[in-house]
Amino acid sequence: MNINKDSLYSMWVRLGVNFPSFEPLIEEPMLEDLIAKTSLIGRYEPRLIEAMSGWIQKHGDLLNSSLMHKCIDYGDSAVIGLISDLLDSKESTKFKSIQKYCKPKEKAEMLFFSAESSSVMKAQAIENATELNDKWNLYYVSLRIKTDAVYNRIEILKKNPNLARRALFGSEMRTEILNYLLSNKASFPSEIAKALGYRYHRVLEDIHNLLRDGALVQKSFNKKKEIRLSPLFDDYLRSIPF
Amino acid sequence: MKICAWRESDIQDIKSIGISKEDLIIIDENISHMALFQPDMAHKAQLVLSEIGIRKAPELNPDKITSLSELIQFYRENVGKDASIEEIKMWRKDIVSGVKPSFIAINFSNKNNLSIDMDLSL
Repeated sequence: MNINKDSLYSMWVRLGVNFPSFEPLIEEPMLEDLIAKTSLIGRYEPRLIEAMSGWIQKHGDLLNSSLMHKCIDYGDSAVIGLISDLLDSKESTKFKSIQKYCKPKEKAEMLFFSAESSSVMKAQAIENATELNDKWNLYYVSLRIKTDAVYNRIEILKKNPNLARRALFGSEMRTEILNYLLSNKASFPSEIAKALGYRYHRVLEDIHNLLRDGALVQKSFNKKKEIRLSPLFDDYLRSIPF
Repeated sequence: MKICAWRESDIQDIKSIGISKEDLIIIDENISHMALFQPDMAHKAQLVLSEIGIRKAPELNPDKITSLSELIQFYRENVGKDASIEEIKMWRKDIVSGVKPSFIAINFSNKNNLSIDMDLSL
């Protein structure tokens, strides 16, 4: 996976982190994908991990734990586990469910690669190690949870409509289906399930309910049922109240 | 301050900003002052300066090693590779249980010398 560190800074700026030297990304990034990528690249860039920790600490309710489970596979699962274990938030049940899918490092490592060459840092990290360090086998001298670098909720929701809909309707699969249809206009259940990484039958069940309640409309297309948002509901979803 | 409270994110800062001659004069003054009250901290700051290439690394004598960071540095110089975190954890455990860092250093220094001698005999 080729990940550009500058683009990660820009994505976090878009999501409301104050990195003054970076411009926000034009497209709204997917939070869980960004966390997975930051768990890898952030080991070279401590500030990315610190900002991510601050963001999750402050706005963890906007995190979709099912999507996070899928993204853990290509992120650094021990880093994600350690961070979610470190945070003190009312979202602790969600974080615990995420931790179930995270594995500690087999052998002890420094969290930040820059510390690998420093005997002073290694010594300090081991001398001040906590139970959490031993649990995840990741050691560090300093990991600040930078909540002060993260904008407040309204500022973030104003600029990120997908997160705004999570705030309004819950960080659940149904919201992700609606977000997907808003950006893709029309699609098929199998395509949505594949794109979001949900099980097909679960997506189909939610789509049936949304069709039943008039939020979605369908038409046959090459023997397949193409679905889209009903025009009125589309307008409704786009009028974010922030 | 950064040299004394050395953190991972500071490494990037020092690399990008650099340390001028004037900075170094102030750092030296601070370290000398600190040495009066917190000699361990002052010693650590000296080690940091050597790690970032500002100062020559002090020659470590295994008999005089008193801290875990010196032990790690001595291992690197003596064995020619970085100690793993697992090894450092083990040394830490030994030190906490009363073993002197110098004893551990002498131990792996002897082992290393023994293996060099064995290479020569081949």
